[in-house]
Amino acid sequence: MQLRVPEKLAMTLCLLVTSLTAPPHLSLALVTLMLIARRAIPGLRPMDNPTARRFRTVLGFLLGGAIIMTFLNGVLIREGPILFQWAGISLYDGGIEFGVRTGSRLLLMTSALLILFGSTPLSGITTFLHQIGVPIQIVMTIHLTVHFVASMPSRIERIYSAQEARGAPLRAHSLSRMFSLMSILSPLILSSIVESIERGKALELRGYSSAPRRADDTVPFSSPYSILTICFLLLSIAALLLPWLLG
Amino acid sequence: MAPRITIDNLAYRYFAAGNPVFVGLSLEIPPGTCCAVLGPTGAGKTTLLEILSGIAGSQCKTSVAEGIIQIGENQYEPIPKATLFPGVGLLLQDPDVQISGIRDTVAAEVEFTLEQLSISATDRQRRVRDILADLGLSPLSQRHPLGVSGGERQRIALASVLVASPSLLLLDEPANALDSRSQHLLKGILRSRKETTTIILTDYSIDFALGLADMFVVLAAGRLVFQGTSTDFFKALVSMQDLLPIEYWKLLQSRLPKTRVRIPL
Repeated sequence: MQLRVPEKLAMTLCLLVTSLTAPPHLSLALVTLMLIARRAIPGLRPMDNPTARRFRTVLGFLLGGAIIMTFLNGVLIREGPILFQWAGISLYDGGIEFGVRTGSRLLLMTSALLILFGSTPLSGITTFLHQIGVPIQIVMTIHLTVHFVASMPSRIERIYSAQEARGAPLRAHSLSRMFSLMSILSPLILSSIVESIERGKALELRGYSSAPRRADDTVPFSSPYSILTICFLLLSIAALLLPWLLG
Repeated sequence: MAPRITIDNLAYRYFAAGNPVFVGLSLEIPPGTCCAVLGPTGAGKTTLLEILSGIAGSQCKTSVAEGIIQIGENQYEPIPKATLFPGVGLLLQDPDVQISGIRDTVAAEVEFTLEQLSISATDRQRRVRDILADLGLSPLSQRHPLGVSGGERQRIALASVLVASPSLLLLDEPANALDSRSQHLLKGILRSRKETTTIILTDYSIDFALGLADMFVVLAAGRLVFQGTSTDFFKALVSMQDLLPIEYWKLLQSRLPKTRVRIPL
């Protein structure tokens, strides 16, 4: 099945809404389903190997973070019966439940967004949004934000390499890596912001901000209202309304 | 048709309480001229181009400007408040920033500029084909715009500006990332445009502007130090010693064509 941008956007919207309203076991089931779909459906596969690697790394870190967060919640939020006790440390049911709910929500949101941006070129998303009449300022903001986030790892790598070439042992061990990251954080963010401003300036100089919607399209474009898109949109509404209707 | 550019008594500052970038700057650039704006770092070269393109007025809402700018028949008082696309094209210093990344091929990236205008798809594609051929980019037309060499990226950025056929072309240090072969190619492209386009380019050293510019303007700390033809510039350089930072003056002096007599440093 070859998913197009509208279907993928509708699916991501549906998953984001569901992550906010669904119970943890459904969220975790959906995460598993998404991971299977990412392998099975060509339209959801990563665009290239580095993207696939980044997806695995981010999801791995997130999973680890979610487990630690659940454990800490179980210890710190002392609600409900004690599930487990060892060496004076007690895990409470209420805390664990809260941790699992938050963790599963975070996992579903992140995997949905990672799959969308990993399998769809940014140009495809911005072109589609422009074509359906989303205001150009919003499209430009999305473009600049995604570009900003996506360029961060390569920017960090460049700074590390440049400093290491001068003999600074930035990546000697995990601790030095962590401390050095702290020290480059502010120049890194500042330079990224400056580049975003310049990029916005360049787009404006090419008439982007004042652009009317294109009269004709060279990019193949078919109606965004396919059955699948409508199904996903209806599911999003249902996910939003059901918890409210069921009290 | 190439426009005449007139700047009359321009004063500009980024903030009301800030230091002025320009004070009483007046310039006149005849139609179809290639004008090189020289000056040390912080002289106001880039700001001048940004004012003429309209991006300074559009992006910096806190800026304060006085004076009059005239581009062809259009008079702006004090400065344009929106970008003057497609009549004025500005090539920024960094080609990586100029390439939008919104499109996946060089041809589509260049065509992106025309998508902002009401031009039919057939016309757009014809103009893109022509400009890519002019700039020697046809073999790269299906490559990713960011997956090419620095010199090629510079030419793609230039193509994305030229494709809109601006009558005033502004180039901010265009030779920065270019090797000598690419510089030579770029000079040829600019020379071929002189009949229909007024060109203003900035250059830190004089290397790129030599043999290309008909007119030289020298700025220092926002003030006009010199404006005139290339012949006058070479003669006047000696007298600019006190008006420019000494290191910069020495740099210009060292770049003079070898046939001219240099003043011993």
